[in-house]
Amino acid sequence: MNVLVPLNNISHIDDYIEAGAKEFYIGFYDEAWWEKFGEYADINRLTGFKKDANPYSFEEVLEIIKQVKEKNVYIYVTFNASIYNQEQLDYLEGYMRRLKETNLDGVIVSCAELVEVAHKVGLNAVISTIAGIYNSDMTKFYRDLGAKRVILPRDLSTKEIEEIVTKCPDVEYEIFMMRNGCRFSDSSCLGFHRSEKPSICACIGNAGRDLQVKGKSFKEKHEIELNDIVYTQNFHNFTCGICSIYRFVKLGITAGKIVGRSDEWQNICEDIRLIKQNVEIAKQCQSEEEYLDKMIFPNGHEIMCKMGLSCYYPEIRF
Amino acid sequence: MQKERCISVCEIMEHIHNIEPQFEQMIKEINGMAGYTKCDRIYIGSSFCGQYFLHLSMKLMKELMAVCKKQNIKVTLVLPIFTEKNLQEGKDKLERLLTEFKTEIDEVTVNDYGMLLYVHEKYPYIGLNMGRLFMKDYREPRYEEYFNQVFKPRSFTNYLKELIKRYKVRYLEFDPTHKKIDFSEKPEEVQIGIYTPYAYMTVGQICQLGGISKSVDKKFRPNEPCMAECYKHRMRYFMGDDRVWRRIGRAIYFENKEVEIIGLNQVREIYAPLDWEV
Repeated sequence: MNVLVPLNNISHIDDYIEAGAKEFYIGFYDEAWWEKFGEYADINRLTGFKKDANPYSFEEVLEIIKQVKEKNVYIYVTFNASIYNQEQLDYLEGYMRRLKETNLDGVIVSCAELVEVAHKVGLNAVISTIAGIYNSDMTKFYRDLGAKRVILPRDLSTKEIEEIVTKCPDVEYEIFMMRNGCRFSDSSCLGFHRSEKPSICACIGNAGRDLQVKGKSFKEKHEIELNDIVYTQNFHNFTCGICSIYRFVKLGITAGKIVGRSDEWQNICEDIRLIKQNVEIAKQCQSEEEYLDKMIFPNGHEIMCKMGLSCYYPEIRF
Repeated sequence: MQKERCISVCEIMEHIHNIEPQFEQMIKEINGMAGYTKCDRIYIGSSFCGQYFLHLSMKLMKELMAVCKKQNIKVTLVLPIFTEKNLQEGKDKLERLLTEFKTEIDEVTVNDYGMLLYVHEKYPYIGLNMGRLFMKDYREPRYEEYFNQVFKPRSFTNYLKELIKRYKVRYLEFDPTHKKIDFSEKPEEVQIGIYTPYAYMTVGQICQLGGISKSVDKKFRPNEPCMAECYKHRMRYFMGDDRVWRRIGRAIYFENKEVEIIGLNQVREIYAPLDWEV
């Protein structure tokens, strides 16, 4: 299982690779896109964060791809906004044609429309988690369209991932491994990701609320209120999937993804090393129990690793 | 503009059945809330939750279908996205419902490509709609400039037009995402349905309400079997604006009663009484 990381700081590319990164993903901004389609049209799901999340222009990304390929690692470019209209799809084809002239390994796309565009241009299509591939029928649909790889949603259990991979073995799979969780589905969360206001999930967490407990017994009220406290204050503040590595290595998952395009490079490097070391440990282990005994825990595990609340895949231990 | 009047009890059938156990009266009351004298169609099932769909009670369904038959109300069955562990169960339940109520259910709304292909192949005689989860335009009432524009949905791509022809899709179903929505670019072959008075903004496989009866270490697992807590519990949020925000089941909705639809001669309005509370 390769470690896949966001490439948001090109000056540290060698640090990432030295730490063990084998694959990168990168997005870009383009002033011409905003001029043509307006402020609220996204190229990728983090376009709204402007240069904080996509610090490089398209022209710069073309150069970065060349540099990365010289270092013999994989690189993918993201086109995973929730939706595009036909005019935008046609415009995106222009970017893809220029990307085809590089040695890019593929484009990460969010919709069936863009799989067709990628194919037309001759690029490999990786299906983003924004497409929401929750079952084997959907996987087969995208496979038949020509997908090379499918990124499975972070709100799927390891058992379901195993079933999908077993039923549809002829594509590559990527899973979420480190940093940010999400209380909703990437595919169906349709609020903005922009810097002016917090995302809807954060807003809800901080909003005033009526839990509608009037007239309920103390016990019922207590359960509802405690549940809300745990959900808003303790659930997925940071998210990690390290305990699942043995299962994913045995399953032949191609890549484990670190998210957090705006995060500090030192933290990303730390995560890369952690995953890489644990993948090596998993390869040496004869059973999951052995792996769970020998694996290295993330920093901060004294708080994080409690009650499964920071786990992508809590079923491994809880 | 010609209006087809529909009501939706998706996600809330059991909740409102607790309030009004007589379906005949329930339909009458919802019609009253919607401003209809009579509805042409009722939506049942779920757009958002596989567990809700699997829990659908055949007993309640029979009662509801009997009323629909008597009042000559057509029925649309809405299917959520099933995650892998429920995919077969979901298909089995679909088969049971379509067999048991074959004269009442004349339409199915799907919310993912896998189910679009499956229903088209297995039940070629049934009307097929593409549901609200296909229509992924951002909706953000918190950003006034974005919300107040005359919005043209982005979904009408060449690819969608091909799908509509290939799978004989009859309706595309939307949420009231903006103040004014212009559907003038919709493909000719298809009609538009629009939910009212709430738009869903976000949803996921993780259910806050489903965690209520679970121990802390088992809370908030994606698409886990639950005790159908959503039949009894719901939440309201106060976001510092004048809008009503609700959590019903797994989804977060905002109210948008004033949405104006332009560019259509005919629309299917799907009124969901999400305000109806105990």
